[in-house]
Amino acid sequence: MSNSETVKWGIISTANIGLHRVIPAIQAAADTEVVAISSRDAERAAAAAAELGIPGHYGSYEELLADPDIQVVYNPLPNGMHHDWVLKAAAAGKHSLCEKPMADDVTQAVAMTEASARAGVLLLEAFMWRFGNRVQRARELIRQGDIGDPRLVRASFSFPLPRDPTNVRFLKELSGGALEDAGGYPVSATRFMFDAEPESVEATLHWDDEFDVNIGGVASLAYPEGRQALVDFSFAQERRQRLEIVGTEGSIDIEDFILPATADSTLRIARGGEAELEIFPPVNTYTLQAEAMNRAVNGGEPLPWNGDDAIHQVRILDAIRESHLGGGRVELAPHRKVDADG
Amino acid sequence: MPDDQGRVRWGVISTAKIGVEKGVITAGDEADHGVITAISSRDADKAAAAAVQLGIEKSYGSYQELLDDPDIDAVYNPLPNSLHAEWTIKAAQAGKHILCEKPLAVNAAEARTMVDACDENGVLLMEAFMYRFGNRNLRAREIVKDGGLGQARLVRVGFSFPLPRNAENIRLQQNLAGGALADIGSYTISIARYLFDAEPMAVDARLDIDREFEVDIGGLITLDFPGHRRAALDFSFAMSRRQHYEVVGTAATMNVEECFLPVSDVRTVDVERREGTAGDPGPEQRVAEPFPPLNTYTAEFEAMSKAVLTGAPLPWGGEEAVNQIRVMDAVRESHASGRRVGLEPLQETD
Repeated sequence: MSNSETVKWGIISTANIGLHRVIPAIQAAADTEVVAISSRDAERAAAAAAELGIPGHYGSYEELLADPDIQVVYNPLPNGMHHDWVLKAAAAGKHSLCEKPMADDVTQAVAMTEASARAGVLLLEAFMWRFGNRVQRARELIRQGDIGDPRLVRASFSFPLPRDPTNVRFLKELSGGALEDAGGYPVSATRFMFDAEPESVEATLHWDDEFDVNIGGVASLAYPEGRQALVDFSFAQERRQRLEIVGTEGSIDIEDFILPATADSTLRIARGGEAELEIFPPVNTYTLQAEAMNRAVNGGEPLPWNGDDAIHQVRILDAIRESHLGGGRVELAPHRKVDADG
Repeated sequence: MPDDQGRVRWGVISTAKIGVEKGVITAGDEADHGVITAISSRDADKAAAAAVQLGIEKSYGSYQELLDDPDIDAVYNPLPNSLHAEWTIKAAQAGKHILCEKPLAVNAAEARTMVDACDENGVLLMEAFMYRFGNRNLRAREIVKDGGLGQARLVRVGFSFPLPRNAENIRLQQNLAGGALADIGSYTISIARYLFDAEPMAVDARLDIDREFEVDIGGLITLDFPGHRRAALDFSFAMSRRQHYEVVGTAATMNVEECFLPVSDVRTVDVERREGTAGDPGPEQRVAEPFPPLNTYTAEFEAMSKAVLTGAPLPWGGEEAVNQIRVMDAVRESHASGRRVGLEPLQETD
């Protein structure tokens, strides 16, 4: 197969994140064609297709999965539906780019990863921020030893979410919640920067009695070799997306690290009392994510992260919930790779 | 019993570095209503040398001799942590008011005996968290209280620096109650309580124990305060130098850098807010309120001196220190057990 063959995508659901952010960015990716979108409501699918210039539309997700032209499915369904539709996509021989959190718990994540492996399809959890130029540069600086030995990562994501009871992010039955929605990002940032998996977790959540979901929380993660991380997330705080990595000899700060930058942005590195700023042009990380998927589909380059990565991410979210409820430290078994590459 | 200029007469027990080399004694001497009149050491020559160096009138070759001097009103106690209780209690018995370095005590029970001794002898006791007198910290606390951030929900505090691994340093000696929690973690706990003006209900903590020195050299703490408020604290002797805090509210975020030790230049309190959505937060609108440099060591000696002279209550006295130390106890307990440690609400006191 050629490495620049056009990859054909289908979209299941007309979720806002897809319509407003991710689908246009996928369409902007090289060697990509979004060929169809589906909704349980045929009219909505048709309207979305017309709005986004997508040639095909379907009134059910099943019909889209039955379309033999489609190679990759983008799945931005509510969290509680990720598992079932990734399994169905795998059964139909489609690769999945699945929104985060990929699964409600680690059991689901393992099942999704194993099913994808058996079907010989790729599975990627859509933490697009990892494709950002600044965070990639930060990881490179860490690896080069520019801040000495990295000891602490602090990561935050908060914003005031209007208290709309119909928003899926507040719906318990669709696995809503701030940990699930916002918290996954700072957790993944600590794993990405240390390039390691935590050994234990302590966490408390801000439980909203009206919606019966968590709307925020704080977690501390212990990594091997005495490295540590602190994360916070909230639907009920001012807008912040902050990342700090502190080493024995310096530190790195990145503001607004999660969502794609729309203008030049900076990375601050401080060493020996001196700080300097590195400037980066804006990049659309959703587009970079789609292009990484395309390269892997075309056999050009394996995905940097796969279902195994998502299993390790999701088990930390499980541990955070367990620590909150149990009131103490939750130990995690050593990192064990699930052999699940497509 | 002040001096002829109406100033409280202070004596210093020990020639500890923080007092002699780091400027606390000199700063204390600059308080309008205080004067350092004596210093003591177990080594009379060292005391005499320090007195000459710092321009102090009298020196003593034992702490007890200084406490027996009737012309001393108040004592500054910068002894190693493990000796705070013994000499604070002896000072109280000698009728001296005490400004004691932090942490006040090695545990809450010990802190309680110190406070009781001071109460019985009618003297004042304050734990020397000088940062509380900083103009920026007072302003930050006021902003939180006045709703300038909306409802304050989260305090994040970081205090770290690379401490040379010198076995002689008392901060690395377990038998003198050293360790990073005692030395700098205490600040992070204290300022979270100060900014929220509340006591935590629960503590989760983990310490980084140094295998060679057998003391903690850092840690992470999360505190749950009433009303869905949380604090996330980090401190370390083995990381790059930082001292800062962030307070996140429902409507704005506040950042203060170089928040603990006195600063010698103009510094700001930064309040930031954004008007956009979660997906597109929009540009940051930052108001940076500048403050002149201020020696907070001088401010704490002045506050204590005035309280001694007027009999007015201290803003932070012995009970405050007991509340601080019980959180430190809970941190050690949570680290050891791996469990969340609950704290009882405070009893109302008269």
